[in-house]
Amino acid sequence: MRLGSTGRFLVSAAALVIAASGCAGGTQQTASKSGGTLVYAVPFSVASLDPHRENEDTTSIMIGQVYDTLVHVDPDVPTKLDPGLATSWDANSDNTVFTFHLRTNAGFSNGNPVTADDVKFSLDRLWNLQASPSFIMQGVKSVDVVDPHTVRLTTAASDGALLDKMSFTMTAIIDSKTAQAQGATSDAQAATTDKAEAYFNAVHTLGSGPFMLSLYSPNDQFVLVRNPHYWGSKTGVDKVIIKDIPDSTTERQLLERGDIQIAGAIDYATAQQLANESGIKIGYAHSLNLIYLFMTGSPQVSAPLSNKLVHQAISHAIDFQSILKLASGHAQQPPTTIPLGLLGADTVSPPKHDVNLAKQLMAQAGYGNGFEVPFTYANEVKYNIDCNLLAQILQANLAQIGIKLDLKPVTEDEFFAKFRSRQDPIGFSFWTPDYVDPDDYTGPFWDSDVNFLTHRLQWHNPDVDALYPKSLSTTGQERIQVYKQLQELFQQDPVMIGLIQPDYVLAYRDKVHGFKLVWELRMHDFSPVTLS
Amino acid sequence: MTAFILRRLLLVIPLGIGVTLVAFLITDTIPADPILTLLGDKTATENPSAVALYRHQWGFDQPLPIRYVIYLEHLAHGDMGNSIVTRRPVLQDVRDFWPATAELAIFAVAFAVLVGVPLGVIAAVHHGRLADNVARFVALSGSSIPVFWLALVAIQIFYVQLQVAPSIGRLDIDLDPPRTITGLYTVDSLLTGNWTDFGNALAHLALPAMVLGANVMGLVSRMVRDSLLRTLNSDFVRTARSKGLSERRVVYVHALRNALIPTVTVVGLVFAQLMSGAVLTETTFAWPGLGRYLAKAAMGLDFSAIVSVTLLVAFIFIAVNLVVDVGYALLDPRIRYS
Repeated sequence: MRLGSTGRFLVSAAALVIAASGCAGGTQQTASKSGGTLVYAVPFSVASLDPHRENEDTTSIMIGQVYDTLVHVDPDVPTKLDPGLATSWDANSDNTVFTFHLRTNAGFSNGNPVTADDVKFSLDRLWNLQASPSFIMQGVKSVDVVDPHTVRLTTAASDGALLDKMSFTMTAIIDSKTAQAQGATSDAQAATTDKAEAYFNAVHTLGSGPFMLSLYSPNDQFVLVRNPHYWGSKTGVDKVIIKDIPDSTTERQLLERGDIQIAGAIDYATAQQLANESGIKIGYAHSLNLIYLFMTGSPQVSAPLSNKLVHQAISHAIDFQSILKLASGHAQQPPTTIPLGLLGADTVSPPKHDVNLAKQLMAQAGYGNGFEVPFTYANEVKYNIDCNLLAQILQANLAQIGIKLDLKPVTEDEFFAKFRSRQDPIGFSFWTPDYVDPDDYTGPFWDSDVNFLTHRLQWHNPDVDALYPKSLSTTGQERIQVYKQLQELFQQDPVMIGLIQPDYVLAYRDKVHGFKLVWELRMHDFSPVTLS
Repeated sequence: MTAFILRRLLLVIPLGIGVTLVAFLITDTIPADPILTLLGDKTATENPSAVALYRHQWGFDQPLPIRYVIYLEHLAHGDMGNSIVTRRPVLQDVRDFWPATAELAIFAVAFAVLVGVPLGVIAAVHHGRLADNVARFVALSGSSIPVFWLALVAIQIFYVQLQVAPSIGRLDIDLDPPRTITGLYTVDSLLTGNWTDFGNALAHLALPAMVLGANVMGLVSRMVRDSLLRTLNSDFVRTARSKGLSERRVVYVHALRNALIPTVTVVGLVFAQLMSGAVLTETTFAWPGLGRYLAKAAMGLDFSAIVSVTLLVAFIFIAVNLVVDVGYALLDPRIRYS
């Protein structure tokens, strides 16, 4: 079955994208010319510069410019894939064998051509390093070279999300010849034998993306320049500087003076203040970032909180509208834990705020008089949402049905240690997408085979487990129906509740054209950007 | 004197062991897991074999005492271990981040001394008069305004409003740094004859150095004033005056030299503190120094980085104290070390 971009069912999600001025707006723009330096500011989180060992946000933005992947997610429609290093792709009828046809004109920044051998080496290395981003290759049985420009991936079970996974930044295709000469390995022992990380960290990039890395000073900046061998059109600017500005007030001041062109980390309040300043524009875009409430499934951890009726009661006790206000209205409420914008997410309705119904459910569960429980949460600002305020809203909401939350703010590390210990009765956590597919929010969240959150919460839903494989073996309209059924089954015992999906917000100078704010921070593409 | 210096240097060994041991024990009590920093929540949860492998590779499968011994053994060979947060040798990180901090500290302390000492002298000489009150007000403001607030206000006034200060960071964003020799941009640009970078680096240092130095300036000026006042009332000054020496000579030659001794101690200690990084100033001015490196290391539970930088800071304190003690002997002929 051919699964090219036209064959996929498209959900209209154009509203998801806010294009900066100059993007298909139809209005006349000031003349923009090629060249110049674009400065994008963001607080750095960087570990390794080796794409197959790294999964931090800032490095992802850099790696996304420097390394190309087989496919790209369309910047306008998140459910659509565009060609990357592969110009077309096929899958067999049960989604277990995927064939990618590579473009013949792609070159690495050192001039070497991109071949099927490079793809095999890169994907094998990604899996065998057993590093932070390796999970994306889970379930891939083999990567085979069919001919110099054709690669075949075979999965152990049906995997309808595989194509989307091949757009994940860290499925970066590297120049295998040079990498091997520098000690890179890709076989089963790669985790112990690969010695190439130091080479990457010494600012060597082996990618075929629109830019290449020319300078990295830690806690300071990445400097990117054009890759002369890039297959696509020439980038709009000569140079991109990704600058580490850890303080949001400083970032605002730099933008006002024009020393940076895009402020990547401002909050909603600052954005509103900047909106009226001349020369500055504000862009909002729906994100796939999720803050969700979780409860335990284990009576040993908490008898009342492991009760299905209490899960339902809590889902009706929460005043979602007041939570959305934490983002000054720039946020959405997902119906379940699948964020809106993903395939099938909008096929069910979110839980309704109904305190009386919630009280009835509590009485039915035998907890009409309520109970008290400790509520440990990360004392942070996440996705621009102040977690202290969020915890206070939940505390007030649940108090109305007799549940007294004893708030315990801790550091993020401490919170995760508690959450991972499986002994946390209730709390809220965060999820940033790895790939743009609902499976990133169902597999790790609900399925007992993947067993990520189901293990942590000690909660299993056999009906969801039975239906889950079908979400990976189907495509198109049929797959959407499976997600509808999965969500309906899940909502019968909502042990996790999607609380808020806060929008991204960016501020930029009005001389920046062609920059698209997309639902995934790491998918920012600087190559079409021009400056006037 | 040589024996004294040698004895003090030998102190480094027991002190180093003590400091690293305490740092090790403290990092071990934090209820968080460095494997999470390395592998991320997903891989750390779903892939037990990766967890086991990385625990082994980074030495976390060993009990704490063994890990400590291994660390000391590596340290003896000049290896400070690898950072979990930057995935590079800690030694290389220190070499990259410390010069930025050192340069800022030197300029901050220079500002504090060049402004603080004259201010203290003026206050003492004009004791109780308007000049004293003004000087004391400036000193008090300097030492009581929180540094992060002063930084934000200074940037708002001098960078955003008046547009006289350059942007934050060590150089203009579009300038390439000078070739690394010492890592201090002002020194390296001088050595390589790169005048553009030299001027630019100086301009970029001005605001953060003044902000960071304001606090010290206040402290220095108050100390100079107090000890100069005390000295001016002492017997030997009375003798000097009765010999008919000019007031100028009495204050600057006889009194000030004696009054500076306690100030030297304080400046030394503050300098050592600034050399180990100033997190708030470095954050606001996007200054890639040791303070921010250490803050990130602490949050990522980066054992090697935390322990090694703590050790380095201890060394800085020992070295600065040594210099201060030697300085005493130069300032006060009565002090002799044997």
